Amino acid sequence: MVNPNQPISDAPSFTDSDKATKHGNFPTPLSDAPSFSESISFLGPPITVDATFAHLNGRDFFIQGVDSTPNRERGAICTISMGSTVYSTGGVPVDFTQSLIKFRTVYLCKVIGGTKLYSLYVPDANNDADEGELKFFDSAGAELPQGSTLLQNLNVQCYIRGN
Amino acid sequence: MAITIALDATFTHLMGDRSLKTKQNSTSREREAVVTITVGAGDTYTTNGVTLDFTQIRLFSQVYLVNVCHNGYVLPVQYIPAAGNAAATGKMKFFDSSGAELGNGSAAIQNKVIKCIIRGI
Repeated sequence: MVNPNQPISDAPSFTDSDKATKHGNFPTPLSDAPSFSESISFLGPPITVDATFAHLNGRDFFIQGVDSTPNRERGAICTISMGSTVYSTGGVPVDFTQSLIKFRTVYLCKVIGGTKLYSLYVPDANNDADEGELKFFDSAGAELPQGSTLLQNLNVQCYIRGN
Repeated sequence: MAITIALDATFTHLMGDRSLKTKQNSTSREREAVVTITVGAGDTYTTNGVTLDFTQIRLFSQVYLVNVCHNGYVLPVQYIPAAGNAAATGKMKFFDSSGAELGNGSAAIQNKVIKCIIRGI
């Protein structure tokens, strides 16, 4: 029986050799991921994995049992910290290659909390994880105007799928 | 022009096989697919919802959940499963900014594209 209180550190994990064998160019292990303190620039506001959900798919975020299928799809619930972001017409660029997430492609992003605004994720033409944009709309369904500050200090929670 | 529903090409290979089963190598028959619903230029709203026929997606026979992810209509929508969750006759209701259902014959849904995750068998 699954113990819901089981510490994350006890969850089964893959060794680097497992990853290399099963998935080829597997994303960089999380322990090697750069932190924000390092001088790496990303597009848009910072995005972090929601700590509550960090263990649901294992530390590699794979959705399904990788031992039995060739499926490489990954999913994660993450938080976009808008901070002082002002709205740009066409959408706020969101970069899911950053931090602990390190997705290469994101084809689906659903806002599930943190704002009352309507939203629509616009994937990049090639689903590149650092090229998508998140559009926001007011209660009448009109896109926020350029320079709107309605997003500021919001922590927008999203469910993303990609690989 | 009719409302069309298509399996999203980006996701066709992700399930590992064409069955779209969520749990391969198990007795579970549940399936999942990412689909794009496109409302035609000439389509108008019907009171109580427009009918969505998901049987055209790899022969789904039941759909119990439609998770709207990218809503090109922007304002609220709601999936109403059919009796017995029949995949051919579920409906999607559309609402205006006040929360009221669109009126019969409304053209507000025209040319809208909605991406959903459906679950069923």
